[in-house]
Amino acid sequence: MRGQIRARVELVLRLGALGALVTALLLVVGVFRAGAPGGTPVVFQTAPIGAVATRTFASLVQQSLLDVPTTADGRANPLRPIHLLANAVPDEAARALASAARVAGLPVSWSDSTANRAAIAVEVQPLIDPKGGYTLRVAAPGGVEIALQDSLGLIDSVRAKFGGANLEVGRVAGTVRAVAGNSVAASSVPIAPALRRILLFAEPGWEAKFTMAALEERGWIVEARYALGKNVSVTQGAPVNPDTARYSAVIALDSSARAHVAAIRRYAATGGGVLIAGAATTLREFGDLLPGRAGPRQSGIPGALATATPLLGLAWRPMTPDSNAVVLEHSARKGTTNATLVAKRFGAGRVAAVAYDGVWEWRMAGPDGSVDAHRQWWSALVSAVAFAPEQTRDASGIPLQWHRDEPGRAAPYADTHARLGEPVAMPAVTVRTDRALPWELLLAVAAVLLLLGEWGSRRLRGAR
Amino acid sequence: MRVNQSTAGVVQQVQRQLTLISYGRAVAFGLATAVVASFVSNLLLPLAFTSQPDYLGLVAGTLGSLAGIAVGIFSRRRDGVVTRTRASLWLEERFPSMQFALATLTEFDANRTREISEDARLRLVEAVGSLQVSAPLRRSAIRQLRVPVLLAVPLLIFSEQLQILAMRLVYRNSAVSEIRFSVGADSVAANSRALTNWRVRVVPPAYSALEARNLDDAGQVAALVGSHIDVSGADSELPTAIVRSTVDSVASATLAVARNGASWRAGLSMPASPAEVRFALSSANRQLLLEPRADSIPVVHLHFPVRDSVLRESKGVVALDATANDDLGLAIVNFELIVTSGEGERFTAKTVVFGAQRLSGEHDRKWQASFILDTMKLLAGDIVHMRAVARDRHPDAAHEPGASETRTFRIARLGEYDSVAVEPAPPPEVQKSLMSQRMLLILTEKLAARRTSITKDVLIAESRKLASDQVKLRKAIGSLVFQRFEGEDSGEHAHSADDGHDHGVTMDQGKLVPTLATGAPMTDGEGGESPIVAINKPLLEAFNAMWDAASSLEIAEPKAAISHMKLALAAIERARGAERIYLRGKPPVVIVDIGKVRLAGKDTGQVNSRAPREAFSPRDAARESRLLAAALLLTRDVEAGRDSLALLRLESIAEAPRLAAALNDALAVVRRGGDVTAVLIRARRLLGTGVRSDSLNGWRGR
Amino acid sequence: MTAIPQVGSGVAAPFVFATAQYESGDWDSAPLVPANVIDAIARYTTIAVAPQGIIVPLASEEVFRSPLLYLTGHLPVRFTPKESEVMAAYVQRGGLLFIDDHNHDIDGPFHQSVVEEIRRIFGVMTKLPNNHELYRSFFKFENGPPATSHELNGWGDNLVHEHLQAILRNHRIGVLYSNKDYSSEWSYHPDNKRFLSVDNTRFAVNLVVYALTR
Repeated sequence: MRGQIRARVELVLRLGALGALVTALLLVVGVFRAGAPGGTPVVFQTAPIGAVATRTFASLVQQSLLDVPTTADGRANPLRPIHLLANAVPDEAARALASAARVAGLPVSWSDSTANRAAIAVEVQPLIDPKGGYTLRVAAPGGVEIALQDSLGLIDSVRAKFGGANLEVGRVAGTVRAVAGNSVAASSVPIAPALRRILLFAEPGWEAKFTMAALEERGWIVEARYALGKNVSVTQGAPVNPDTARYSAVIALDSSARAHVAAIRRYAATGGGVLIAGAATTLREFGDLLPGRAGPRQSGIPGALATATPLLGLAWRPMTPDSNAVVLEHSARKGTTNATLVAKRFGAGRVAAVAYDGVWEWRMAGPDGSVDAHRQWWSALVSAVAFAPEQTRDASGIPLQWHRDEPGRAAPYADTHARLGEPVAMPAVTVRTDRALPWELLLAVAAVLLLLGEWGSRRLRGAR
Repeated sequence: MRVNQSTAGVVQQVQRQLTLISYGRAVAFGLATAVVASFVSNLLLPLAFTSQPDYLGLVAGTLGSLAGIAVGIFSRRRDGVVTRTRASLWLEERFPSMQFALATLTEFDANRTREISEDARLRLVEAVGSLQVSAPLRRSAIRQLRVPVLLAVPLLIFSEQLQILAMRLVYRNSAVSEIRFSVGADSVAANSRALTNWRVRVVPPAYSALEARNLDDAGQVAALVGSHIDVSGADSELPTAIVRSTVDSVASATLAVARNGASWRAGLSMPASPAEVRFALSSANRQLLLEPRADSIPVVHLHFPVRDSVLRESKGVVALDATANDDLGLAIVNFELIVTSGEGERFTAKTVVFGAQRLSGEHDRKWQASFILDTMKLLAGDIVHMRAVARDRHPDAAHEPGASETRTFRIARLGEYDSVAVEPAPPPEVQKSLMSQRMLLILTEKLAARRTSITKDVLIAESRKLASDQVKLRKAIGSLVFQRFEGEDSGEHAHSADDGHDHGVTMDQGKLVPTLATGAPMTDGEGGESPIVAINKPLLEAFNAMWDAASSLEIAEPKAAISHMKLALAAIERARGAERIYLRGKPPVVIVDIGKVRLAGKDTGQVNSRAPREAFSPRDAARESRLLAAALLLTRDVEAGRDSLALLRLESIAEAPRLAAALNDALAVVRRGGDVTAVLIRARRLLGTGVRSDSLNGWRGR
Repeated sequence: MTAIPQVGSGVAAPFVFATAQYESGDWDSAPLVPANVIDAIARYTTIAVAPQGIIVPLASEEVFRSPLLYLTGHLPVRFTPKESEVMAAYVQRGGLLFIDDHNHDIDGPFHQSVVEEIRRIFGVMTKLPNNHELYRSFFKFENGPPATSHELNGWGDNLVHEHLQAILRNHRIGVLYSNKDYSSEWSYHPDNKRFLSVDNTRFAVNLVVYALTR
């Protein structure tokens, strides 16, 4: 008899534990919140592990759409809004879901608790350089450390200072991701641009020789004709009139470009890139093609070529930029605000003017590594202006297709703004005063205790 | 009367089954516990140890299994041994109709000392009846086994995922990287391969007198070119071996491998360029990298005579004093004279070697000799060139000897002595400043070294004192520059930058900058006076560098001033060197009238084409691809990835030493087992990629 | 005297012929060669050239401002460590060093010593093939380097040296060595060129054009 009573008690304990557990679960889900006012939002907090959070978010959206309580007079309450408390930027699926819910009529708002560290965006730009490579450009708040990865793993990490950071890499595999804390931005690798040749206008001399050498050693194909006398010349390649179909850039180093000014202007206007350096910056025939006025020639500082700032040792013509020009580089000399590199748009093309004269001296007389630095500098100059359209066909003529990224992948924070609007302050959520106690927790603990009691009783009486 | 045999059989069957069930419970609980314990230890262990050796995962699994076994045993003990009595009682519970008849029968049967009457027995047997135990056994098995099996099976199936989850939880906060090592598996696999435990013996060439070395299990050998390398292994089969030069990747040769008793042996000579030897045996292969070290040539200095000279007559004794030093040992040292006679277009030369000494391998040697000028029968205008020569013990006669710099003594021509002083010219004014600039540099270096141990006031005072000395020196150099321009000594008509004369230089924020166009030689007018570019440009550079040095010293930054002072010192040295050409006399000056001769030639050239230059250093791109491939390989096969890194390192030593050093660090991390990500990133950066800027400015020309 | 075209009106800086001054030996044994080469360039080409050559000490950084350097002598040559260092850097960066044996022989003190020095600094020289682009960079020399009168007259070693030797860097000549004695061949005042039926300085034009355009 006692055993039977005991067994019944144990059954009651088991059922009680089960009931407590179920009630706690229902409380968590919110079944008993029927009395909450319709406008009170359901607050959802983003968590680091995106996948799990999205499923929960999706179920919340669904529940909110279905849960349309009626008021006392029988009218339907407005839909319960959802408010997203974003500690981390919501992932792609969550953002898409939220914007779809908004379109469906569900009010969705969000607060930004990312502490200003989540606003990152990444872009992969192919380098306009025969060696190939890419520039990974990341926009981020200052001081944020960003890890850049591709499919093979971590490439490098950069620290943003003035609105972002750039990183040049030679090889990238797959998709590039920028990770800053919990924020991830991704961008796929674009197709490399089609590079064409360079046309050089120069008289035979050291500047022409070393400029051509630097560009060729870097991998560019350069064409030129050096006039040596009456009907005597040395040609490199088969130079023709400047045309965007054949040339990515035209470089003019001295007065030998005078006879071709009209062709060069036409070339720039139709999208070509023009680089004017050395004595050519004083040619009046160029007119408004030049992005700035060159001052009188000044010598370089003796001895500076061998130092860490070798460009100070080069002769130069201080440039005064035009009003519509951009200064790419100022002189490092103290007390002068003149520019050494100025560029502007001309028609559909770009033109840059270089103040230095005799840049070849940097390669010959500069410090260790100046040969490579000279090559890199000239190649960068060409890249800055070069006409290099995106390739549409591969080597065998088959059209190339580039899968363009969803905009949100490259800039998830900006995408959140775009889809959900501006962040708002956390809404005042009405707390149920009659639920001062955490019932769910108490019920769960009670369930555990009841189960323990039932098990203990069973064991003590020798049952299994 | 005995219990019905079938009844006894049923009790036995129940006993066996219940025993099996209790074992099953124990095993299931044990397995579940093992997986959970392993998971927990994987979670906790990385927190305790900073680097996790390969075997730790194995230890964690073993401990977990032991814990599981312990729980299983405990579970079994708690269940208790299933005796026949217990089995029968178990049946009684399920078949209450027996009313303990079975239990009684079983007890009596077990305890033979007690007897019951036949009648009682028959009634008991009747009461028991026939029993169908399969259903209750099945129910009992399900009830007892469901919990442990439901626990164990999912845990076992997802045990690997649990370990990954543990890793993820531990490494959650670091930047996600796929370059991580899988712990344990590879080291176990490696031990089972062939070609392990080979021995490498290196015997340097006899002339080097270096000792032979034994390297056990080495993957790389660095030794003198020509050393004999002996590789022996304990495998029963003979491996194949291919030697491939890493410089010329096309050429490869097979290396003969011979049996040596129960082992094998292969021998080769260290080549002049780096090479790789790959041994292959069944599916295993192993790499031995050869890094040659060249025998450097001796370094020789001629201390006496100190400088070149012109002698009035060919009389007297000339003493020579020299030292030589070699890494492996000297063989012969001597002096060499070349006597040239003649002038204009006709010269004859005679070579004399004397003062030779044979050595027995000393690393350093100082030796002297002398020769008597009288016996050499020199004539006016003859020149004697002297140098010291040392050979090391390298057996190849074509191996270059070491030689000192050459001194020359010239016998003055007749009449030369009258108009030109033959003693070496006195040091020009600039040489006096050389001592001061050097002393200033030494003092500045000492101040910079003492910086942390002196007070700020003392630092400022001493630095400013040095600055004022530097300024004084700079002014002296400045006045020297202007003297040179005007050709006058300092005195009444001294010149300076702002005296209103056009000197061709202007002052630009303290520095002197020439105003003339480059390309035109800086001659100073008519009269054919000496070109001044060779002297004045270095002095200008010294002047400007001293300005920078003084500025740094003024603000108590002695360390920043040191590099500028060194530049100034070097520039003064060059000016001093350039001064020497004017001892010989001036070359004739012919100035071409370009305008008159322009295109006056009868012949014309021809149009011709230029061959383009080849793109430079494509090797960096190839190296980067190989580095990325090796990094990927590390995640799948540690041994192969390590071999690839080692080979890349060897091939980069000559052309990219910094990359080779970074790869060396990576290999060290791989050997001790750790996270190689940071080192590989550093190596990737060194390949010229990773040019970075901390802004979004698109201009790349830095 | 015609002024050098002033830099500042779009014209490139003129080419300046540089002679190397080294410590050992008689570096200044051919003082008329620079003027003769300058004259040849002006006579046949429109290249802007300075009317007078310069002398640069081989141990100084000044050599880097003259990417074509002429070096000659009769006496044994031993480059100092600084000179060796400068020469190695000079050629590695793209300079062209033209060395001519003023003795025209193969066992004389200049030839032996300078070949040894070149080997020490740059490695072993290779024969320049006689169809190299140097021999057609302006004038066409079908048979390679033109013979000098000294070779043909039998001075020195009675040999006509058929090839020049060179150290190549990236398929470009870095060091060009001649023991054909062009220094003697070109050692006369340029005004005397009018007496020659064939101008023997034409090869100098090829050398300068090669240096400036390749």
